[in-house]
Amino acid sequence: MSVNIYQNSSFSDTPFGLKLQQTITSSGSVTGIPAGIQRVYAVCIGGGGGGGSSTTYAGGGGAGGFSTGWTFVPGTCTVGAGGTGGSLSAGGAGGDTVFGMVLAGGGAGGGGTTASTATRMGGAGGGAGTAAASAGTTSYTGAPAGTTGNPGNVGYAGGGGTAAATTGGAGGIGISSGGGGGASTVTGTQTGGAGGKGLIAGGGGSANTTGTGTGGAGGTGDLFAGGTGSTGTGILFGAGGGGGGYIAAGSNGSANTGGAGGNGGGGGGAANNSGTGGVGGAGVIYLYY
Amino acid sequence: MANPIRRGESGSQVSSWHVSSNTVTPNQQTSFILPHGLTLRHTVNAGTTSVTIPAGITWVYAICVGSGGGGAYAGGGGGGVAWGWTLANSTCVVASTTSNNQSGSYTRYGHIIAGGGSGSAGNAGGFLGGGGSAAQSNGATNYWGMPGGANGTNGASPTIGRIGSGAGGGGISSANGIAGSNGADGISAGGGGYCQTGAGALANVSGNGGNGLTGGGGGGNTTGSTTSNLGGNGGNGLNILTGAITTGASYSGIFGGGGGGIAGNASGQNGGLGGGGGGSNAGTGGAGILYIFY
Repeated sequence: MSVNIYQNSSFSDTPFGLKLQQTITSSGSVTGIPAGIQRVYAVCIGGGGGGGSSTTYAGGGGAGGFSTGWTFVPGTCTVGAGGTGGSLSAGGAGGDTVFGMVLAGGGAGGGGTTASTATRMGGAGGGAGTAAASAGTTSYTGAPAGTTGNPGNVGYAGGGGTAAATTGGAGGIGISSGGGGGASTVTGTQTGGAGGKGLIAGGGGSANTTGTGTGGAGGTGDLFAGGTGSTGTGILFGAGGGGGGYIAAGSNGSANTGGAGGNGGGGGGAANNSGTGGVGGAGVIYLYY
Repeated sequence: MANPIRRGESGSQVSSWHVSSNTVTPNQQTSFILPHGLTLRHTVNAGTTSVTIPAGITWVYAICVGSGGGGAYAGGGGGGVAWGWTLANSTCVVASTTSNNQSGSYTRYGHIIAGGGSGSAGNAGGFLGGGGSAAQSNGATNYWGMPGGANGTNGASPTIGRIGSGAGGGGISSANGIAGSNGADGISAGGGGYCQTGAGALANVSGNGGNGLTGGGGGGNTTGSTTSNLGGNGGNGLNILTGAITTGASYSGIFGGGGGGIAGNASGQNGGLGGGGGGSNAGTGGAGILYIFY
């Protein structure tokens, strides 16, 4: 059979004027695309990383990757789930989202008792807990990512914030931003690092102190805000807020339980004092044609 | 049934607007980042954080330019440049002018992001397409994954920077009478090197900034020679809207000139608007800029 690209009426390098036709929120078969539509322009968002947990302080999860481009129409697709919140461990990495040849990685889980979990393809780095933070990862287009630091460094996918006394390191700014690091001192006034700002935002780190503890705020996304950290006197407070997602705002931290990341890839907030980290926001696929 | 996505040229038969024969001139503009057929709707400067896109416009084409690196002795690198389609968004971040020494900052719209040029010393270097500076970081890989160029080597025989999307800065001379090397050309050019010690009777001359869409700053502020110490010229930039060169500034005594930005000429040691690198001796890096087309 011969193929002539000139007969493919969808041939164009621009998505200008295309209309949102489908929003896919679960993995499975691809249906509903009219016959004759051979290429679609896909927007893929990976799942956000879950917040970390330890007996003391932890790091927020990184935001899920964001990728766009033309692709053939596949038979099936994968939508990344949000990473699980850590329980005396790092948070789980967010799931990858794949539609044909457009791919977006999940965000890294925040560090807790164990180091921040790895991520891929534009996923942002997780903040540090008692174990290490992680860097963001190179994007679908090859854009560099940010490394860890206080604050995490800027990149397409921001780096995770490191832990620090008094105020944890903020997550790195990016398209997908990094999770904040924990506040590493256990007395006095302590504040977890805020999640980074971005199109999709990372979760806040936690504080664990006998004094006044405040969890780091979830990062502010372009479309939705992050959740606030819990605050109060003593170690029963100090969990971080979830980062703003592409579809919904992040949830507030509550007592020592991290806030959930906003739907659409927001990173989960970190737990403190053996609480449970916030789950990352789920990924999504948008199809334009 | 009519094709539901037909929209002018791009919806027509490809062969009708970009023929395969080499005997005719295609009617498609050859600019590789300026979106032919679209209209520039918004020019956004530093300090503005919101943009109003009309209802019904889903996709827009954005060109982001980060701020140039600030100069000290070596010139600062040009600000990074990134371009592409992104979903319409009401918020934006545009990089401000960069002060002495410091590396430039980022400009972001939707998921398009460009980093700053490398500063001459001090803080973290250039990133996301920013040009390099010999006293700090190499040129940086850009949004599209196009590799950055390494800085030239320093020493008695310094070398020019390497080309790249973010080009490398020129090497620093350690010998009297041996000029600092030029920054390399690139999308975002590298800053010029200078003479670090250079004590003696021979004339010391610093390197020029490279040329690009954003030009690098000239090196300078060398004082080792007992006869003559001269800065380097800033590299030229390019106004992508008009095709006109934006000029880098000439050196002035020991001070290097700023590099031309994507939207304006350099002024003395200061880089031009739109990411021009700063020249030596406290030249500021030009602020970033954001163009939105639809």
